[in-house]
Amino acid sequence: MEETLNAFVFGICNGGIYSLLAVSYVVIYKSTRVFPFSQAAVLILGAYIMWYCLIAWHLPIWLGFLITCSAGAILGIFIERAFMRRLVGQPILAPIVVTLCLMLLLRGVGILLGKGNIQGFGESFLPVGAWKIGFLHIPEIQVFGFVLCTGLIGALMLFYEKTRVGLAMRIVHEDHVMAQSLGLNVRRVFQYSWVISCVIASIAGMLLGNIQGVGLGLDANGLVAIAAVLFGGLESFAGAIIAGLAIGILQMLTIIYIAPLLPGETTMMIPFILLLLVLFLKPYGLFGLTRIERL
Amino acid sequence: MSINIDRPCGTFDRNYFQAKEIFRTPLRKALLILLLGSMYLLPYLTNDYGISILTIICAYSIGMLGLQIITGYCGQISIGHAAFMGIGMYTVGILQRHFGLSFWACLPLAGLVPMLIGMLFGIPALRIKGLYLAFATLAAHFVIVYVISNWRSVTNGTDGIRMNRPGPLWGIDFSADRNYYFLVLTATVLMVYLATNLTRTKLGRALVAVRDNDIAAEVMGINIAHTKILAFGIGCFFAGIAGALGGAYYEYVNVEWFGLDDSIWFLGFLVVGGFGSIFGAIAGAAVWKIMDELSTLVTPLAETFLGGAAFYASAAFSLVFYALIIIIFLVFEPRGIAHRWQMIKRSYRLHPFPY
Amino acid sequence: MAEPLRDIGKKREQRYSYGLTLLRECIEMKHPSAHTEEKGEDQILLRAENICLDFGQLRALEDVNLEVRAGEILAIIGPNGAGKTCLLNVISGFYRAQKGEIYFAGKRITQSPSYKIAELGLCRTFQNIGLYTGLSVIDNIIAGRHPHIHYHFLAGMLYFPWAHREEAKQRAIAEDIIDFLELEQVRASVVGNLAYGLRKRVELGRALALEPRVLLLDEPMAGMNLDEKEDMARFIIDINEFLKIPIVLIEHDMGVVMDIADRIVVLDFGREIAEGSPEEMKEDPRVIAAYLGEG
Repeated sequence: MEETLNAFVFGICNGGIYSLLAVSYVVIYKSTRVFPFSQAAVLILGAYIMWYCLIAWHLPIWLGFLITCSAGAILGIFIERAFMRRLVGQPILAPIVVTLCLMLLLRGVGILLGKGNIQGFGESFLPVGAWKIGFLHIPEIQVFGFVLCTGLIGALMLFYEKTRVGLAMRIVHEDHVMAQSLGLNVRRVFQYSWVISCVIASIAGMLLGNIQGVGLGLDANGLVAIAAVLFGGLESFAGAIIAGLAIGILQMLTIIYIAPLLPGETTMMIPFILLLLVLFLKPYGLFGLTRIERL
Repeated sequence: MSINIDRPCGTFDRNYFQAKEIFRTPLRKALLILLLGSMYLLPYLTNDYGISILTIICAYSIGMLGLQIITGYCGQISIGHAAFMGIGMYTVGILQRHFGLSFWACLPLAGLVPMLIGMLFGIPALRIKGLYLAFATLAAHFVIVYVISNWRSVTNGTDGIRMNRPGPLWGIDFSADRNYYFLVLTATVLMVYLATNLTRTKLGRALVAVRDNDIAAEVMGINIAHTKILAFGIGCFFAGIAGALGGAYYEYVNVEWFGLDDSIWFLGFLVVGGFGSIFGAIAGAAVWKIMDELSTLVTPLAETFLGGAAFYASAAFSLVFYALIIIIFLVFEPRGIAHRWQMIKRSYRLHPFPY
Repeated sequence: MAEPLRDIGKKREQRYSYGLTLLRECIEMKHPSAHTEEKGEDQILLRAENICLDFGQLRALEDVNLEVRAGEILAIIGPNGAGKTCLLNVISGFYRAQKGEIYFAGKRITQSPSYKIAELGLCRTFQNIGLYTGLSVIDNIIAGRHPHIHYHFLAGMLYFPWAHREEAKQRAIAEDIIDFLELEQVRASVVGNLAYGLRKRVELGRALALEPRVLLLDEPMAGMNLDEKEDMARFIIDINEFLKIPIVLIEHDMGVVMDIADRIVVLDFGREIAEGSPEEMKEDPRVIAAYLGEG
């Protein structure tokens, strides 16, 4: 019982990061209708850049944070300008293959940056230590991560609701052609989506690098977030948030209950089984929209 | 597709059977025989290294043909193709190890088992329209790799299984690389024959119809769920056969050989080769193998330039370089090498006119 | 001179056919009693009863009844947004109506999937052309024959002789349709490169290839000039008289409708407001108010 509750809390904290990643996928998918597999690898770059800033160059934390976010933004602008923009008008297969190859490209760049080593953070930049509330054993690092993620997602939702740019993005979510006929600059909205998504993914990478160690295994989290996105519905922010939390909890419960039964590394595999179940039972996800086709 | 638009000048069809022929004139038929003959003679001109490249190109071609059927003709994106190739390899390995079956008996099963497993994963995704097959195959990839790595009693886990080459047939000993190459080449020719016929028949047209306009296809009498599942099944069958033949060449099969990277390279090099044509699939496989060989040359070069840092450079090289090539092809020549080849042939034929 | 249908493909020489004789033979082989010599009122081939279709809160069709009698040309007219295409979509099984039943030749097809309905002989064309853009004209028409081609795909892959012969037979039937629609010039062109009027004709050809017992045409003359409209009208009348099948026509051009239609149904805002012969419709005050206008 204690273990389960502990797992729940731990899972929610982990799930916060998965939600953040899931939101980064949904941001791009809603705007451009292209599923950006490459964000799984942006994680790795974010983690490595933060590591360089903190450990190799000994910069203060806030500067490292700023540099990582800027690097994420520049990466987003670069990807959108250099690759995605030229693929407008091609069938859906082309952007998908490009994002998949970008994932591997960024992974390669990550190997070069990290000189092939998988390394820990040395010293974590978030407080290390744990709080004990009754029988719950909550590491501080996870809580800070969770709070940061919640803050970011909240800021993003406010951005969508309150600002004019957010409103423009929401219109583009509905229909590209209609938005263009209303005079909105759809290309700029695509650029904003990519920038937002890459910045979010870099920050998530930073947090994950701190928690799990900076290395190439981080993109497994990105792939698990894909399962979360599908579970929640490809076009729904609320779905992405809830599904991220759910998958975090599911992973922790897996460690307690299922891992003793099955050999090997089950925590990365169970979310994919969930994905297949979701496809079987409710393919559009919890909150997904079914599109009515016009003939 | 049932009309051969690329007909040589001066030939006219007198009946519908002639109209469907791919090699229309006696000259073209002679060239075809010459091509096949030269492929059979190639191993006598090169050493073992060349033979290994040719064998693996043939095995990859069969796998690429499978993916071409799924993605190029039917328009469904499959990111798990390498995993199904792995299932084919492992099927042969397991059957040989635990049941002692001969290679010949295992070969059809090496095609059928991935087909059935593929259809199991594909059926939920193919009932609905959209990119869902991509996600289902992604999930399938991870689940399959997990099962293979951890079911130690059957698959020997991450240590891999030793496979045996096929037993002697009509006195030909297949443990010699050259003879094995002839076997693989024959299998490739057979698979190309099957795939080409597929494009000319009812199912081939249905595949392209589903790719181009699946809403209209459904209303026009084509059962699109059935067609998509069939396409996926046939593609996985080809992948399984490719895996079996490739694995038997190395006489060893290991789960580390087919990671997510390989599935993505399958898709990527299919793009480089060209969608929607048999030649494109084979061209993509050849380009992939050549790139592989080039990247093995990088390691000594990296050692001279980068010193001690070389060991990671070759790992990064393949990732960065292949991805760049695929992306450049997608941006500048999205229809791939096959299309470029058609353009070259056409400009040669129409010289000096531009079109 | 006429070679029976079953012998086509057995010999390597080809027969010459004029008009839709081959197609008519195919239809008669399957449904020998389908056609009658007179346009009888008692032979109702397609009946839709009390169709109600909602999209969320939007009511597209309300209590629509439609009857198609043997051998007649029925025109459905009405202002834009009246639900005419929705009605055709419901009949061909693409949308599921919330209420209502559809009967075709005595069989209840309300819940059948679209491809089964097409196999039964209810064929349609699309308002925004739905051709297979990667295939040539003749391949599109042969693709239309899909439900009526009978060989297993494995036999096709191994290209057994009977698959060969079946393909040749289908080619002969498709050439028959091409002769009728005067598309010989563009037979080998990829449809993506054709002009709009030609594409509409190819669509008609593909619908014919399905061996229709009732043909549903959605705005076949939209966007055509006078010559093309006359050609299309001639084709429609020829199909109606030669194959003796009823044709349902959605059309905006009143001249065409008044000339070739036997009966007219008028829809407005999803309801049926009038039904009758063209002369009656010209005088009907409700139709004039909703659609025709004064004068």
